Amino acid sequence: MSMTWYIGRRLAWALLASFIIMSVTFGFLTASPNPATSTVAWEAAQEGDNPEDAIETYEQTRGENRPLSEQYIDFMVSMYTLDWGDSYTYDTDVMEVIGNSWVYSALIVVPSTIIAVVVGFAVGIYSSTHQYTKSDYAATFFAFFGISVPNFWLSIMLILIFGVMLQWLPASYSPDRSMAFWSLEHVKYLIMPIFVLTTAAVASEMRYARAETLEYVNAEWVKSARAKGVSEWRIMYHHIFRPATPVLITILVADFVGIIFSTAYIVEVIFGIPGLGLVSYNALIRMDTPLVLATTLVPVILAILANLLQDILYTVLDPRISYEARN
Amino acid sequence: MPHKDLKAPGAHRREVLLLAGAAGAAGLAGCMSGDDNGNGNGNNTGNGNGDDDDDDVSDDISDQADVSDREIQPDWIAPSASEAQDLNPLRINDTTSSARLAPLLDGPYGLDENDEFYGYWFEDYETEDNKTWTFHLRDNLEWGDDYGQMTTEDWVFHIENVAQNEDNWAAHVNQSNWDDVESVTAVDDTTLEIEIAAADPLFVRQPTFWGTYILPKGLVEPYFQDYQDGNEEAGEELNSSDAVQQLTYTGNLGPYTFEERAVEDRFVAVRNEDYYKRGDDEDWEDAPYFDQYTINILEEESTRLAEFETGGLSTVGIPADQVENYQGQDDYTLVESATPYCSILAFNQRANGWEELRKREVRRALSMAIDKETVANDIYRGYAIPAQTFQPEYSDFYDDSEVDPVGVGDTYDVDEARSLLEENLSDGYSYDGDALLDPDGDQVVLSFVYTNGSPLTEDSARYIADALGGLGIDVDSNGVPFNTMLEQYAMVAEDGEPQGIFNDPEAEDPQALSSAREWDMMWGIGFNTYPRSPGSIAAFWTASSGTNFYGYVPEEDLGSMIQEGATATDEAEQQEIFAEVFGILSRDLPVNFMHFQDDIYGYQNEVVFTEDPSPSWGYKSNSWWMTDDPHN
Repeated sequence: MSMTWYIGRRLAWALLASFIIMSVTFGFLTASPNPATSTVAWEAAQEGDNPEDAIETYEQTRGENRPLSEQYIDFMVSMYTLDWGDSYTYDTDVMEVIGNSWVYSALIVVPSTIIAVVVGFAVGIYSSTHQYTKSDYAATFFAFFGISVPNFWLSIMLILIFGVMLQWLPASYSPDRSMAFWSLEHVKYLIMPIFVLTTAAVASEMRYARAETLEYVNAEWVKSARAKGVSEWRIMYHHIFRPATPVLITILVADFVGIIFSTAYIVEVIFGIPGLGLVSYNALIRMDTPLVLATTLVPVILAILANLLQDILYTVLDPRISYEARN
Repeated sequence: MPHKDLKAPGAHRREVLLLAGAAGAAGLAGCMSGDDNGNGNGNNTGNGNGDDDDDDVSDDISDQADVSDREIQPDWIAPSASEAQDLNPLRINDTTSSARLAPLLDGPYGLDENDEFYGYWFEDYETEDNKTWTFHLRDNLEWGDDYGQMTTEDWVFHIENVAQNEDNWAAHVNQSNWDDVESVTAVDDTTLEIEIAAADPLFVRQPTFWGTYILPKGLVEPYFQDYQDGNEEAGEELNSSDAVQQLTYTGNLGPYTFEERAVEDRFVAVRNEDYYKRGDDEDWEDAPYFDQYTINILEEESTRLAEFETGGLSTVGIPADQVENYQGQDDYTLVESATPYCSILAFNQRANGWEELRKREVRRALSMAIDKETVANDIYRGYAIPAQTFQPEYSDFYDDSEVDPVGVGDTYDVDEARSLLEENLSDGYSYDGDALLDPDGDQVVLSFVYTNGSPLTEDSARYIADALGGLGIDVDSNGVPFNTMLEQYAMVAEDGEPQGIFNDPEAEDPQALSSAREWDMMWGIGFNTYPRSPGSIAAFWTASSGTNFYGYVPEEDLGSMIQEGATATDEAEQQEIFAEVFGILSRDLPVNFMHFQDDIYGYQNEVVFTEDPSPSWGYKSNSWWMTDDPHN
């Protein structure tokens, strides 16, 4: 099987998977009561108006007075033609909203992922090759602390300590509009959010890297390499880290998607970063259907692409794995 | 939870009259209650709300800096907890969205600290019979784009074809405000004559006019024509137009001009060089006094407060339980502003509530066992005033001699409450020791639903449940989101399905109705008491009123009395009638009127105000200035 055929089949599966996920999400959303309707009705009642008329007007403005089948077909067609419609909240194209917001998410997710991978893997491997030493215990303590500490709490603490008490860093993401986007000054606004994201991610990468590489620390080929006088750095990189890489890549993909769509939600809400997480969170709160579905589709696509990338990397990193075997 | 949000002063003219919210939901509660936690500055706020206590929150705002020092500073930065739901003035009825329009559109007129007309677009008004009202528009008002001068033609078109259009083609959210307007005439470009169905001396204080934003006739008319030609989407197309979404029509009608909206981040407006009101008087001499007006969206309350403390915000709403952190600090000025919102503990007199609650004496007994002062002073930290009827004491329509208090001073009496219950509960109810037993011999259990998410509301719910325990009643508490409370517990339901209405005006007996889930008491709703124009309370206290989810059936014809009061041409007569209505409500206790909360605003100390604290706080906020820039 050629690589092209393999990728093609994976993409076809991606389309089917996204179809199922989007249909299920649409179903959940339409089955859920919209909290805004009861509020609209309540406000109308207080003004002596007819609440039912108010709900009708509200639904009319959102196109929700049409038959469900019509709404579903319209929605699926628009999704697959990339005409994702307008957000109810912002009265603007959903693509534009996503286009504006992903940059902010990337600003915090990409650096934190890179730091988490580099630091996490490095410390994990060091820890596994120095098992039961003080540095191993320290790394383990840090890992458990990082995994255990709630991101919400850590964010608030950082804001209070470094934002309010010491005033070393801005308390929230509110850079001046005149500030250059790519500037050191801007970085100040990102330090705390990146730190929170990194704390959680680096800890898990470290633990995984330690556990996975431990398997190879006492392997025959490692002993053999040592006997031949190969340097410790070369042993760590070539003989321990490299065979562990395929599994670590799997964890990395899962972590990356996890960081974006769970931790980043919380961090963006607390620090007021207008990224995908915040936009998606608010779309859910306001039942902004086009935006909810679009922001759902983005992680779906990312997860599917990440899986594809992971499979390809598997085959590259470990030639023993064939495309056929993957199928 | 309703989007009461952060009410930046000056951003909520409409809402002060129109909206009611979840008590505590906004987290901005406070009051003029003469609390005793002072820091000793002992200032009299002179707030004109009838409460001249010695509280320490609205401190020193009369000690203003010299006007000659006034200069234009770079930024006014206000927070918002969420994005605007809409930017179309026809569709806005939430505070958050209104806050975006407020710097761009002044509106027709405001009400000052004495509830008197304060001119913006309309300079003045007159009436001879309280039925025909003549308003005078300024002649220097200009729409943006190419829509020319704002004239009375714009208003006539709006009222006739948008606000009163039967099909509501533009999805105008406040159509009912215009129900009582019979005719509107453009006498000339600047003279507008409005005739209402029945004489109403308080018409100028009704929400009909003073909170209204309109769009230029030149913008709306083509869409209206389209609609008449059969395009049912015309209203949507108007809503999506660049003029509406980019706010290009606002011209010189507000102190600022729209600059930028960064989704979930900020809303930016810049100083309007052609502002029509500039130079009106000394306060407005060079207004506005900021180059830029920014609304910074910060979802988390703790983040907003931190940003305020570090100089990132000019102002912030401060919840009552956080006020102590800011009191007595030189960096901040705190201002309390009375609100007309009354927090109520509703008693379910419907078919699926405890039947005994239909008795006035039982409701009184339950109210007598709850110490309102504990709630106001201990839980709300002294920033709430106990209520006794559906009107704050500062209202012109409140008459102490008519009101029968309960739950304060001597009228908080658990023993007497217990006696009242014993005398008035149906046969079969009795006390066994401290437990109140029902006819089956089981302890009486009342289900209590309240809104969650606000520590103040949750704490007071725990206190209420505990207090009723003193009467031998076991309270089954359940905290739910505000919308769930509305839908599952307040709305009329059939076969367990909410019907979208809170009371059926056609139903012969509101007590025959029921909700999807059973409940006996409800906490977490605040009602607007309309102290400026109490005729609007008819929406709450008649058997057929739309909000009567508690199934109240007044023994007297409150509907007729309210109508009589609203249309009485003599002010003294009006006050007398409404005082009687509020007296009846204080005795009937359809709900336990718990307390009135005030908003508490924090400002950077550099802010100089041009008004005194009052229920209208913020009506001149665009003439405020700063002695220095605290943001850099």
